[in-house]
Amino acid sequence: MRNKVLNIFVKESNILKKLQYEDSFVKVAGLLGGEEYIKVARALLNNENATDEEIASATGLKINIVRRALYDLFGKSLISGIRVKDPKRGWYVYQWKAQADQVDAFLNNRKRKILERLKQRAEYEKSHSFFFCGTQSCKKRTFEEAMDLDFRCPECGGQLHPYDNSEEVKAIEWKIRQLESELGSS
Amino acid sequence: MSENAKVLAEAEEDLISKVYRLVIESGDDGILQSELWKVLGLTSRDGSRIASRLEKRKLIKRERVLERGRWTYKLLPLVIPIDTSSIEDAPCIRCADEERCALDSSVSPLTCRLLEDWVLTEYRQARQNAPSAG
Repeated sequence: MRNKVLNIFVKESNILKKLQYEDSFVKVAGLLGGEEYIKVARALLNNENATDEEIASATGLKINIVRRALYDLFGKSLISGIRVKDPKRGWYVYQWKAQADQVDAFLNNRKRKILERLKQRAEYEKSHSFFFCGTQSCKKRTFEEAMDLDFRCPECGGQLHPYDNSEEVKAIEWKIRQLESELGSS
Repeated sequence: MSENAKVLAEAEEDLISKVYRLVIESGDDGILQSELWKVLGLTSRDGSRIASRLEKRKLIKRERVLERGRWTYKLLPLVIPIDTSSIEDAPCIRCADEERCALDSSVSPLTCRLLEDWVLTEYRQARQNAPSAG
């Protein structure tokens, strides 16, 4: 399961590398939902006030996929929608528009959230001693947990040994500095 | 949309990205569109369509200039794309449990393995590229 999730991240990150020179709105859409969101975002930029059906037709994506992407982007305030009456069919449809000016605020907000999580994690890593069995797919345990488990890994049955987490602490602190510097300069 | 049309639309988006990149790399001086079409092997009709797309998206502007006695357009960057690289691979961005992630929840940043793997991978890569990093 973890490998599957990691593979998805690797695939999405390759798509994003390709997007280095792309409209910021499209980049953020790609960050959130990969290739399908990129197609929807590009279609929104090319056709202002497009309906879900028009986007589906322009992108070749199924209408349910387009709707899912639109509702997600709408929920994150990255697009806006207005309800209008379809003159041909008489029912109401939504026309969608990219809110490109919201992209910076959205990204900074995400960075702040991640930064907060990393600070919490750094504090936790620094204030605990850890024990680990050495099997990559198993969890590392705090001293208290290891005591309760009689220093035996409940996942693989191996013995739990003291674990040096100094690299993790350094890595988290490095990322914290990177994000703080970006948020400070934005 | 037929398969053929899909492939063509994707190829056009790739070209738009390439043109945008070259315009950004040309800096404040901009680049003559005729030069750009030569580099990319585009006809002036196709090239103009792409430049007009970028202009419509407010990413570049076109300035009419006289070059060797002929009127042409110079393409100048209007917006530099934002840099998302620091959080591009962050698991939180696409995590299905993101809404539930909290200190007192079963999904917690304190124990998230994906968060740990992400920073470790990036830290090791940065150290490989610049050993003084960190």
